[in-house]
Amino acid sequence: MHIWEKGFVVAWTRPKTWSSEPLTSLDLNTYMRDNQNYLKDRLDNSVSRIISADSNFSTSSTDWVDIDSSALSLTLTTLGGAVLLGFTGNIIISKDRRNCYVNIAIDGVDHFADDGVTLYGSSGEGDGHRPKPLGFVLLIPGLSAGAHTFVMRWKTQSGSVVSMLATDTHPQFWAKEV
Amino acid sequence: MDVSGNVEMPALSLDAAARDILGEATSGVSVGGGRSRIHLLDAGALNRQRATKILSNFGALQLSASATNLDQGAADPVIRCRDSAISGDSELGYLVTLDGEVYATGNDIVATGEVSLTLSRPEAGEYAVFVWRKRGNFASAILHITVNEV
Repeated sequence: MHIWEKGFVVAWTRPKTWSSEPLTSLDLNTYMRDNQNYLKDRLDNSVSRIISADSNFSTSSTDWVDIDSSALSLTLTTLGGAVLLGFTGNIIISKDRRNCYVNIAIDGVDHFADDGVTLYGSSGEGDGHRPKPLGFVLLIPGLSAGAHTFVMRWKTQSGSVVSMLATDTHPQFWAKEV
Repeated sequence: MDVSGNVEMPALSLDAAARDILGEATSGVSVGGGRSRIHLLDAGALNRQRATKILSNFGALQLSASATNLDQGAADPVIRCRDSAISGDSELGYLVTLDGEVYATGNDIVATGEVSLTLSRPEAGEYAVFVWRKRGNFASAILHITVNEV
């Protein structure tokens, strides 16, 4: 399995108010250089995975389970801003008229305990077994500064198996501080 | 709690065996990334042991077929499980999929130390025949049969 990932972070110093004191290199480095770096790096602060696997991911679980605790897991060290999460991929359900529910666990806690953040449902006869796009963008506010882990989870309904394609199409899961 | 194994079983097959053997103690199974997982709602020692056996003994049954590649209209293929491990079993579970969809499932009686299943007048496609023990080491095996359209 090939996973592409990157992430980085720097610190912010609240700018001082100058009055009549001399402009020093120390102040310039702290308040100009480092904060410019901070603004640029925060803009770029993201982590992403694009998955190419030897086989698809599948589950028959009717309770929330990790899709894959390594391939579809992201850790982002934030500076206290909200986090935007996104996913693009394809889902197949083995039976007609069944749902695939998708959730996010943030630091080990399901974002929603009931039926998650989104779902895909197969409809009438023959609709099961046909791949369908699944995508979402989710804003997660209120996170403290520090490292946070985001894990994609799913479940289905009794009697069906849901699969995420990961061999010929390549799911992307990303997180970005905003 | 999950019990994991470093073997990637077909999801439908593993789900059928796990639900048959573990009943409501499992919420289902997951496969992918070269691994299989059985999700336990009741992670008592007996259930953990059973789940481990299911995963560890995949492929440990002897399965054979009268034909594994045939044309539509040819003699019906017969799948046999002749394995000393099942001599004390009364029945085995089976799941047949056709092109990835459930085609047939049920139990088959062990008679004179063997089980035989016949694919009756099969239509064209890729069949997977999965058979599992319902006791002991919960061994299982899968066999693939291709029926060509003529």
